[in-house]
Amino acid sequence: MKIKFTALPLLLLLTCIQSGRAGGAGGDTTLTRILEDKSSEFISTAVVPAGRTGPLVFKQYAELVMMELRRSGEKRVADQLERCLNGQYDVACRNRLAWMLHAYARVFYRDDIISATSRLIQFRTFATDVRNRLNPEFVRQKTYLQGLAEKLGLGFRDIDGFVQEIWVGDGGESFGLMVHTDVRPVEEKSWTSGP
Amino acid sequence: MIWGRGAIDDKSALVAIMYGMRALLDSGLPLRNRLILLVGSDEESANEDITTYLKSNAPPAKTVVVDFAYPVFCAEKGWCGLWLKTSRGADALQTGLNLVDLQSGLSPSIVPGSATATFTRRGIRSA
Repeated sequence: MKIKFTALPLLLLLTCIQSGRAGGAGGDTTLTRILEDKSSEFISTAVVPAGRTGPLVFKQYAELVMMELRRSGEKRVADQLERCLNGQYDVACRNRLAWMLHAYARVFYRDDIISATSRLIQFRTFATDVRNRLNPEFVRQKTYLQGLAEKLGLGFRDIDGFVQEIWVGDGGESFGLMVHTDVRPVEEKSWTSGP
Repeated sequence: MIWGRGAIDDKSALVAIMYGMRALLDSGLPLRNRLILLVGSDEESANEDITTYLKSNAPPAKTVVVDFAYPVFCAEKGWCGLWLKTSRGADALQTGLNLVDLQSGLSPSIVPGSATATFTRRGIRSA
């Protein structure tokens, strides 16, 4: 499979999130150490005020990571990252860039991710006699997703409640990811509290 | 830790991807193409969602299904169904026990939290 477009960093990011590991040797070990939760949190709280996100914060964060790399004698990795951030992609730096994006999202959006996930779970989106796409719980969830997409600056299009598209970038070729928002029903009596 | 329906399958993946997309925007990296997330509504039952979508929308050049056990879904472990048929009250195995009731969850694809079988023996009801 040939992937030539910039979705690759995110795809790699996806493969890294939650696994808590980075492969490779040498500079990657240092980078991993720097991007590990604890040091990332240290970086974020040391320099960037809590609750702030956006392009400027990412830039500050990236500069800190590169500074830390250079201080640790990993100038080569820092230079690679810098080149990649300037749009000069190569295979070696893509993975590292994906890692940095991953760490950034984890550190700076952690609380938002937790609260949005909790919110989504509150919608009781299991199949009933009404078609899912017409079920008020699904409709409310869809409205929430639309609001979230708009808040995050992402494209959003609803296809009659069957599928919602959420996207970044407007280029010609698309790389797709697919998820679903319906869940299986549960025996209500087995749960001690509602969602 | 988040407990609830969809915490793993599949709402957490949806949120993680949306914030991953946001991180991509924050990074300021030039996006020459489009990364598109298709949010289905009917995976657990009829799969009416994506089939309808594909009738009037071209699929992305490549798509990764991020379903259960985020990040990337490779394959299900597979499952095996065993259906036992017996008429209520029958004693096919000659155990002296008659199965009169069985409560074991809502669906073969949902692991029940508990299961209860009720038998009768010589007219004495016991669980």
